Amino acid sequence: MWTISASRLILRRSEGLRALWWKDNSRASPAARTKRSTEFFALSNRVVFPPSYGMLSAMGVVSSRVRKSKIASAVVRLENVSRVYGSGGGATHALRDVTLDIGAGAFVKVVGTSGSGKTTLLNIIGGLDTSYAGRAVVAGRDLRALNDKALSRFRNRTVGFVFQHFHLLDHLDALQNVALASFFSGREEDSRQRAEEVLARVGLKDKMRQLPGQLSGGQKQRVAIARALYNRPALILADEPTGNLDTRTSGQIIGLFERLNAEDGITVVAVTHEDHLFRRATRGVRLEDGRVVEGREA
Amino acid sequence: MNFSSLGRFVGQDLRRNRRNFVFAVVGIVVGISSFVFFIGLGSGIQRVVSTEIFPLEANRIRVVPRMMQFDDAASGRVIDAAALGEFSRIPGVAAVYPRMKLAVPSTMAMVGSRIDPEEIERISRMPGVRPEWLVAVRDFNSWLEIMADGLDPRLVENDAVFGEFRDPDPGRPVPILLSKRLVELYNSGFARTRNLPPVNDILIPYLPALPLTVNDSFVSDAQVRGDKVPLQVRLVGTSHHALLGGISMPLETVRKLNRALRGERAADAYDMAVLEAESSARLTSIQEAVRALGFGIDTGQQRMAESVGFVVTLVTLGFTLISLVIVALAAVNIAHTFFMIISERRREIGLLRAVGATRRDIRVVFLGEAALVGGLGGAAGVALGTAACLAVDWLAVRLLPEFPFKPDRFFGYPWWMPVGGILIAVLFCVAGAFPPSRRASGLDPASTLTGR
Repeated sequence: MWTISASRLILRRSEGLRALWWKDNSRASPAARTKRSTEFFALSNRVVFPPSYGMLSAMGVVSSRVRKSKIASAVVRLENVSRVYGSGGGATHALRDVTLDIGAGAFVKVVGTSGSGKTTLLNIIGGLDTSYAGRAVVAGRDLRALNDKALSRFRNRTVGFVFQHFHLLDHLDALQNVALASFFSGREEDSRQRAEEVLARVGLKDKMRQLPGQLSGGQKQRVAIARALYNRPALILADEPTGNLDTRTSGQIIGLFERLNAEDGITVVAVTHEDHLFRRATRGVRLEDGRVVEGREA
Repeated sequence: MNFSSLGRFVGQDLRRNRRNFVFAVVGIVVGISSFVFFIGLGSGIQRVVSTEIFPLEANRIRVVPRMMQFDDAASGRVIDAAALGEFSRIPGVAAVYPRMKLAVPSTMAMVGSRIDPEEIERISRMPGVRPEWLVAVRDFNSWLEIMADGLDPRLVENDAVFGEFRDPDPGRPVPILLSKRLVELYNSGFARTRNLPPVNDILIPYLPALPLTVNDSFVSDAQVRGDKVPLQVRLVGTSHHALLGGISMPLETVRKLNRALRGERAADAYDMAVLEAESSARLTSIQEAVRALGFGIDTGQQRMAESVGFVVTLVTLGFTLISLVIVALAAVNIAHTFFMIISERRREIGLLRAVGATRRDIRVVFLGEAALVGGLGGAAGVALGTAACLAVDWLAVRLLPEFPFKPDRFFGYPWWMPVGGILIAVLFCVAGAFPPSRRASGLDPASTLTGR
């Protein structure tokens, strides 16, 4: 009992701090923001972990005031981010000087032609790629300043990834695929319960013991979304989530993203070629040749 | 990633890749089984050398008169009653067992036709006795000149199992002991080629008393002075302490014979004394004290045992190295397998990184898989090697002809052998998987997920 109470107390304190930071930071100068963010996370790191918004919301710990303030603040901030693959004459500029803010609770679609830098952008936001120039701050963390352990922890607890090719492990059933992150989070004790919960959330309660080979494309993508939701992330990054699905199934998957965004307040950034499907996106960002040509500002 | 997570994760992966690993682990199984086989064989031979051929007694030393040396005032001392007293007073000495050589030569005329027919009849009724043995015994004629010595009965009290080993009453046969090594050589060589009965625990109690003439020689009369002393001797057991090329009698019997035939001085001159220490830790200080008293230490037996043991160890080591080379080659195979698996699982590695695995986690997963593969392969190798040891042991004992010191078991099974086998397999597998695991942990998650 003591442990639960203490955890709740820590969570309350942490969320309160985070909310304050988000609220005040939006009005501060860049230098002040940097300083404040350093101070905030120095303080916040003393707690067990900075909990995600979704997690707090599910526990009923977040007040409506906090929710509003969180939604209003930026969860992703890119400042002059550039990414070059290769060097010399063969260098490819995937991103050029991208500056972008994405507010918490937003549903952003990122569109552009092939090779325009959409996936690179997602990889940088998700902490999968740190070989960029400029600055990327996600959920208050300057990603390039994090070491491998901290960055992995960030990916484990703050971000959920959904890929075009699902990337499910064929030898694991839906439940085990969803709970994959639990191996690396150090919180395995209630992994099954949580996996069942998120599978039910994506409408796959009756498919928990099915292997990926026994599932349809849409069901596989639902499992992948459940896996992304497993650790209650603040941010879901979806890379062409409907690229391998037919139109009807694509609509269902997008509907699922919309519900997660609307009901759980999860920020969704989805890269897509199918611009028309994401009608309910709160914002569109267009990339061309590595530059943001539309939707830079919220 | 904690240990239980690692265990579950590695277990899942291993089940998935079992076909790849089964082929990769064959070399480990072969290498470890040969390691177990050669260690077992070496250990078995070492045991025979140290317990049967050159038995070593951890808490005993043999004291002998020191050879004459220049500038050595203490050399040349005879082991007599005074010296024995000095030995017993050395701190740490628990017991002193003197040994005295018979100062005159002896002969034995073994003429089969002279053996009492009743004795032959008695032996023939024993189970396992072959009739041809008795024929050979009746036809056997041999005249031997024999050396003899006298042993302290306390030293061989456990060896004289078929009669009391003490100076007999007048007219009674003198109990004697034969060297175990001599008996082994006789049984596996001399007796077999001449169809004579073996000297073993079954037959010894039924062997007749044999005539011995003390102060007699077939070779030279120079050492023979005075009257011959006819005796009857009866074998009462075999002992590692008995004279290798002769017979051992009770010390008191030899003392009396020496006194009667060579005078009082010969009855108080011992050729050796076995000193028993309270513990083997005291041996060094006892040896120093003995040398300070002007005596030497006979290390011949120990040196011989060490030399043979060294050769056995060297040969075992050679074969063990060959088996380790096999395991090392298997580790290279493991490395190849892991490189292949990592190449197949690039996207999966990227996914694991995306859901929160650190570089270290990835490395540990692959090393964990290698350790598990090594452990299972090592266990299989140990099982196979042990089975091979048991099978070869069984066949060797039954099919190989008798030879000196042929043991009941050719193989030894030291406790550390299976543990060592599994540990070596795990170590080599982990070493083999290390470079691939480094490569896996260094993969860029973004490029693996996009297939770039």
